[in-house]
Amino acid sequence: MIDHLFVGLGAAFSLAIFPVLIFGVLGGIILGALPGLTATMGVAILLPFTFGMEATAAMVMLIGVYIGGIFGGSISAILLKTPGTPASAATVLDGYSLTQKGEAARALSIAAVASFVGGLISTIILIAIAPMLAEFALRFNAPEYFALALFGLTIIASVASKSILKGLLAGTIGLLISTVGLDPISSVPRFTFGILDLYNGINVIPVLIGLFAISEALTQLEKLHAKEKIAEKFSNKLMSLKDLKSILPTSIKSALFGTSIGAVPGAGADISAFVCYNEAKRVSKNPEEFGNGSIRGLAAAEAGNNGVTGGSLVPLLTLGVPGDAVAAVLLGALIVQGLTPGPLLFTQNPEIVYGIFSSMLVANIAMLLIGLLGIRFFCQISKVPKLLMIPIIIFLSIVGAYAINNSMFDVGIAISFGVLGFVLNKLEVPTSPILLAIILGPMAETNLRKSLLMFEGSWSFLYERPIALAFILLAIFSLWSTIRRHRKTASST
Amino acid sequence: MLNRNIVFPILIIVISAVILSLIPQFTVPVYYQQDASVGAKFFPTVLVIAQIIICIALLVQHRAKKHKAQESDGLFSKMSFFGLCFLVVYAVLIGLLGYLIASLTAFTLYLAYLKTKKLSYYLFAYFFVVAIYYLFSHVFVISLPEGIIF
Repeated sequence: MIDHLFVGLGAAFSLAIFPVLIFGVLGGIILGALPGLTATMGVAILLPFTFGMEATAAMVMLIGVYIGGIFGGSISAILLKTPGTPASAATVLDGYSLTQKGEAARALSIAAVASFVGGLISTIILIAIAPMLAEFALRFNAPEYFALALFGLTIIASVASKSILKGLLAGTIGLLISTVGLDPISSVPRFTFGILDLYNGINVIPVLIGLFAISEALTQLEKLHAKEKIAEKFSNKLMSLKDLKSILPTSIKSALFGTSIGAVPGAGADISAFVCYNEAKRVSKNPEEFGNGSIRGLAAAEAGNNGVTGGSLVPLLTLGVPGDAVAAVLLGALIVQGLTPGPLLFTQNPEIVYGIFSSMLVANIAMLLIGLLGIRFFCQISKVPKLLMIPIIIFLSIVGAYAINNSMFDVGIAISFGVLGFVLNKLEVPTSPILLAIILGPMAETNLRKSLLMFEGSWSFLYERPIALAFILLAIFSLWSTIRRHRKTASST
Repeated sequence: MLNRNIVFPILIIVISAVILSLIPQFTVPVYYQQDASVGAKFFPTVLVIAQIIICIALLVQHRAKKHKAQESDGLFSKMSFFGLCFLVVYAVLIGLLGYLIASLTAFTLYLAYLKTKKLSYYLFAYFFVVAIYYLFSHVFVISLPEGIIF
């Protein structure tokens, strides 16, 4: 294995592969930073460019786009409160607060380092224990997925910093929105009102664009007075050594969580980021800092979403099962190259597999360097006067919402959720639980109903399946500790 | 005196009641009703009931805390109302004129409404719109909204 890895590293630094890798990472960062363009879309857009390439170079470029794309989403999330990808939705919570405090450069550097830690650890785990992790992930069936979704939904109580009730209300609004469209088991139309566009349900990307970007643009517009037309000054200071020491344990833990979540088919970077954020908040001595510019919160979300990059390749490379949408596009790329993903790939084409592994290591380093070197450039965005920034956010939001399905209907959804987010902000109802619920709702409902069909209507799967039981206990514990923390805070104030 | 903390939960309760009345109208296939213990109606029903309970709890909590009616501004200020109109007008313009012309027109109208006189702002706005158009349509080959007229 080590021999193959060294050969792979040699290939990654070769003149034929290295420029392609850098192009992929840079392209991924740019694509990811644009609202509406996800890492999946970035990989899909660049897929045709690889048709004429040699297999290793092709895969290296696409993986570079994937890794860069997940990080790129955090740039616009931190600077504009506009998550470039759903994976960066949790980054907004603390990243944007730091920008508001004039610490955009510090936030971006923390995001770059945490993403690097997440990606690197994930890749090392992928190299070391991919087959074992795949075996664990394959034990997941409907009851385990339902329990995982339930655990994820307990985060709602955690992100609702001021009022648990309002957070829960936002969560139920999101869950209810997630039921719009054809029901996942029996294809019964629900709340579609004969509108064809609603049959596929409400896409999460226009929702997140509306809730975070458009509502923020409306809020900023309200604050726009003659004297505030120029953006406030901000510090160019990057993260300090103290910051690094502070975020490193959280980043490592989140990377491990992210890798495990990524290895489970169907659970992507968006879910991972929220789960890791919640876990970091739960164990923190200062949970009140979360949501107000906590560097640990930012690091947890970033290491958590980049931790998925290695994990999601585990079932793809070891079993030929794509774990998420990006892995499905990568599966297509492998097939186009005449390769069959699965256990035989390791024995028949080790140069490709270890070429991918080595390139992932190099891609993460490239992402870190580009991320850190680009901070000065990215921060110029913060210097753009708000007067100009507001329509820029609106235009990017509308274009991003349209680009997903080439549909004006999605533009309407983004605008509607923008107004909803703006109104809810005024009512002090948190909007993150809505997004979280829309992401996790279909997973929870589909797998609950599948489980009940599997167990012939019995709810015994909740305690008969060890992994499901573990997640349910974790969910109860997470909810209990959040409520206890809220009570403590309430009694102390 | 009514305030947001009372009106909002009541509004959600009313909406929930309307949704609850819509749920029985789902056309669930007969074969499915025979097989499944939990059908298409289960999840939305549970959620709507939960929503009503949470709203009642919010009302009770508000009453228990004896909040004074907040002297807050209206939900929409003049500027946020302008922003809302701008969003809608831009979406309509995009449908009629396509991305490029609609964005150039909307940006000009926006800057003119805010009485901006700096030429550099107008130039920046046009550069940004054209740069995004070029990036999406020529570099990434992603189609941007095309208008009915153009």
